[in-house]
Amino acid sequence: MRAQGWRRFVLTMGVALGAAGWIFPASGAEPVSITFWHGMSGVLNPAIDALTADFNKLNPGIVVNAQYQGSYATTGSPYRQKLIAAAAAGSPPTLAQVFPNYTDQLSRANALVPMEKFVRGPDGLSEADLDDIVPALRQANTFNGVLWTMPFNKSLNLLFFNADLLKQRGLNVPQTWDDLRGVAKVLTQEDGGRVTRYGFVVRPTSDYFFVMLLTNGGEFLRTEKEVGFNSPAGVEALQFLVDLVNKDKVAYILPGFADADLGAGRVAMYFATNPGLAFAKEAVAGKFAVGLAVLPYRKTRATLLTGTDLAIFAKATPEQQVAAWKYVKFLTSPVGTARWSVRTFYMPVRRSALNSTLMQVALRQDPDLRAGIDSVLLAKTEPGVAEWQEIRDTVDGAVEAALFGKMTPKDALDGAAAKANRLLAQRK
Amino acid sequence: MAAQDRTDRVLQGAPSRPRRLRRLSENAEAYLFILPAALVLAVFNLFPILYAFFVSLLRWNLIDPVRTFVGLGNYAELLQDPRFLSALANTTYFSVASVAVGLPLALVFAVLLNRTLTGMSWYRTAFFVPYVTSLAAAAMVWHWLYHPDQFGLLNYLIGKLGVSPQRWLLDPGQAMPAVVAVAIWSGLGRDIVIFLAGLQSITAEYYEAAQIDGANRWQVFRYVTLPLLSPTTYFLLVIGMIGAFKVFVLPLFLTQGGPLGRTFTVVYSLYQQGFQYFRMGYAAAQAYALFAVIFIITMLQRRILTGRVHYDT
Repeated sequence: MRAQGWRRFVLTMGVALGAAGWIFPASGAEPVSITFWHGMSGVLNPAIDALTADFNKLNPGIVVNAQYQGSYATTGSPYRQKLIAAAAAGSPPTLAQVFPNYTDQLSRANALVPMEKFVRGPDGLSEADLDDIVPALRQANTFNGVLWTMPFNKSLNLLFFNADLLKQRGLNVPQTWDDLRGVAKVLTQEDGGRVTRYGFVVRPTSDYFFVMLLTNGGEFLRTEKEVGFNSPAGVEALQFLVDLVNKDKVAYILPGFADADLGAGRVAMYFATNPGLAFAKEAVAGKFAVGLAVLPYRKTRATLLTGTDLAIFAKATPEQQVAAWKYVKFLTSPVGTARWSVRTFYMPVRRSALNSTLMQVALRQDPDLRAGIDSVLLAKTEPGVAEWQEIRDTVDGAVEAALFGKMTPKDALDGAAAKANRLLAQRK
Repeated sequence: MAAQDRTDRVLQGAPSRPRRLRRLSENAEAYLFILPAALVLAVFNLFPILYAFFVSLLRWNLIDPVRTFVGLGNYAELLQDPRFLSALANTTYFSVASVAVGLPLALVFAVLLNRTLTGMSWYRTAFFVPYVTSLAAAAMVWHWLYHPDQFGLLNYLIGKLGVSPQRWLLDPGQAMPAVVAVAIWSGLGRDIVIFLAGLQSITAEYYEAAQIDGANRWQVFRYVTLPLLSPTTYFLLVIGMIGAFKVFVLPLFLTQGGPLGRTFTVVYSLYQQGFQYFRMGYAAAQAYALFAVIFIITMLQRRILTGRVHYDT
């Protein structure tokens, strides 16, 4: 009895579905389905999903599957491992977030189609559109004169601070390195021989050092095969950080992110990138205002640009590639990038997005966003060479050794530079 | 003559051919049974092992169609790479420390647990639980316990004793001992269980004889238990050293190899070169170097200890 009931049910459903198919035939051809791999977790994930859902609604012929494939920022970067392994296995996604050093590795292995092909294609971008891309970003996505990728989630290093604290003490936001040291000194607080609050914090990583290198007029590369971070400008930059910790004693060493310490009142100022604002606000929980400013400098105003770009893979079918380009165009359009930016605090990648109503309204509500926008034209990027990850880790080691007093900044940086130059020399 | 010889030999050999065939067909069933396992081993173990050696002779980033043959260049680089050599030193430190402290500790607990007492199986389970806990998950918990501020549970506890908060994993001197402690904690259960099996296989007559001879408890342990347990101890020592040299998960989750590279180990280095820098050839060379080191150490242990192991058969 029961089995019969089931059979009848299945039969009825089959007939009904068949009838539905006859009454409402699928419109035209099968939709083109593409996969988009990204590493955006936490609050960033829903932002991607919202934009993707809108795109799919606007483009009935295309289905974009946005897939989170692990973080690229956590230990070991599972994201990069998956992406490179997928490319090696011959089954990469259609579209993926990539760092410039991935682009170098992938494009040398003929795994990518340059964006240039689509930009200059029938559904491409006008010259005005191309000029609208923030120049530093366009430059960072260009390898050997070819635009390989499109900038997507880009962030800048900025000075974060406890705005209420600075206001109470009548202090101005530090403009120069000396200001930074002076303000940090005033804000460092002791209680019975124990420091209860530091003015500043130093992460023993290459980021802090690179930021100081750039604002001291230094550069990453001297020539194509020779690094330049061990120049006098670089040594001074590292010495300054070491002194803040060990001589002036206005900063402490913290390997992790500083937002929790800001919230707990243990530190007054630190460097972080734009999306860090969301985390800082969460940690502070409204106890005081978080301020953002352009980085303090010594020789030149500058900042370090990080974050990923979008790349289309050669393995995908031509239809998929065209569909992926449409999606890239949507994400990086003035409206798309403005929506992304307002929600995630990443930089808009188009200059015109800065003037969009959406950005203007957001800026009025949150004037701190201004610092990022003021910094974008000062942005410099790390070299897009496949070896950069190892070079970066080597610099991490040098910075750590100097901060812990195991080596002088000069010796540490010279050692790191020698290793980096060896790696660069192996490049074909 | 020579040609004649050969013909003779062939003629003599001729009857053996059907016999060999027959033996093959007799064993065919057995071969069939081991085939699935053999295939899996060949595809997922043997082939990668041989392929890794081939890769160790290349400069290759996993996806580049161009593979540059560099001969033993990667091995030569290893010998002058201070980072790799320090990883080797750290790994040796870790292995010696974790085995030298872990094994005696396991023995002590095994002896304590080797008696009939109500709730004994509960205690045994309690010691074994860390071993079956995912090491990654356990490492995250230990990461909190080692928190460098007064919020850390360990710092809270030593604070009660009037000791000031320690930096633990962030202190270059304390980081490796801290990692070793977690490794011992997590591996203790396995060693205890194997020691327990060893203790229980010692026949009661020896103890009775010793008692009749008037041996005290320490003498019984020293002259009966310890020698008769030596095959187990030897096994655990060899397996323990091999396992310890492959340490990876703990430094990855606890310290990321820091501070100042003090907990950076060989497998961590291999992983970093292979899957973060995509220098597959160099990573494969490190794998073979590690194999060589483990092989030499195991051979040394064999050479030195075999004579001292007492097999009671």
